[in-house]
Amino acid sequence: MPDADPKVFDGDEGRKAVVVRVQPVAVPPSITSDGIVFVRVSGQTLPVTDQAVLADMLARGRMATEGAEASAREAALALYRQGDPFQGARIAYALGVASVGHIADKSSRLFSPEFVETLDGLARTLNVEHGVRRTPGRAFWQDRVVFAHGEPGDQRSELPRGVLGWQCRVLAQCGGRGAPARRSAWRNRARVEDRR
Amino acid sequence: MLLQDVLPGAIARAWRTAVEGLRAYGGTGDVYMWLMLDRRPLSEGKLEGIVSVGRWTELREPTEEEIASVDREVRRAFGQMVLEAE
Repeated sequence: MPDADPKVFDGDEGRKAVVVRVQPVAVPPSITSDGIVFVRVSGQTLPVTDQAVLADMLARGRMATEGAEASAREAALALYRQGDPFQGARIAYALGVASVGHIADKSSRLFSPEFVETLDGLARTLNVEHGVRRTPGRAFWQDRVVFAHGEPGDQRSELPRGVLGWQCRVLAQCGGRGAPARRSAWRNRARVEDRR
Repeated sequence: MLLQDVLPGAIARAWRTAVEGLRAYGGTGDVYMWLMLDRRPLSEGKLEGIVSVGRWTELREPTEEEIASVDREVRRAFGQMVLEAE
């Protein structure tokens, strides 16, 4: 179901006007309960009767899905390889998430005080839950958000203090990154790779 | 820091935070989560390599079942005998 945002306006003589803003679905096509696929064109909404149009919509949906998979993997891998962006320490685990789509006016949300407050609140919560007093790290760019938190390596790890300086980094990323990635056969399976 | 220190609580918190960040960022639709763990520090140097786990989910907090599923998969990758939930 696409996201819908209805607004009701009061008119004269008890009349009301409703404007519904419907966001495009992230993974097209959308199919109605009676099995019809519609496409929005300039000034009207038409049922899809052309196989090529339907194939194009399916391809765009597949690209969105594969793009999210690739983005989440890239996010976690980049964090892992880069190390902690705030302290320069190695990390024990990294987690990346990516959505298949994003709101149309993302930039208006990104550079708002509310967004910065939300991120700071999330970083604080993450740290408080871990019982770490150090100020959490957070940063955001046009295409990604990074949280970092953790504490110095403990004695049980037998690693020098600072090597495990941060427990976890989280990257939330949305939006495609160009070419779709190949769907992998090992989706949803744990796998062990040689570390190089 | 060992595996039992991060599973499942720390991973779940990281997952929740990432999704909340993504929501604040304006993400829509389904969400893919990818987790990587370095086996060496988390096993006191007994194991090598990186464990990777991926899941398709929605733009919401991970459910108990999803967290438990990832937990089982990671533990198996660390050599532990973990049975599927009944």
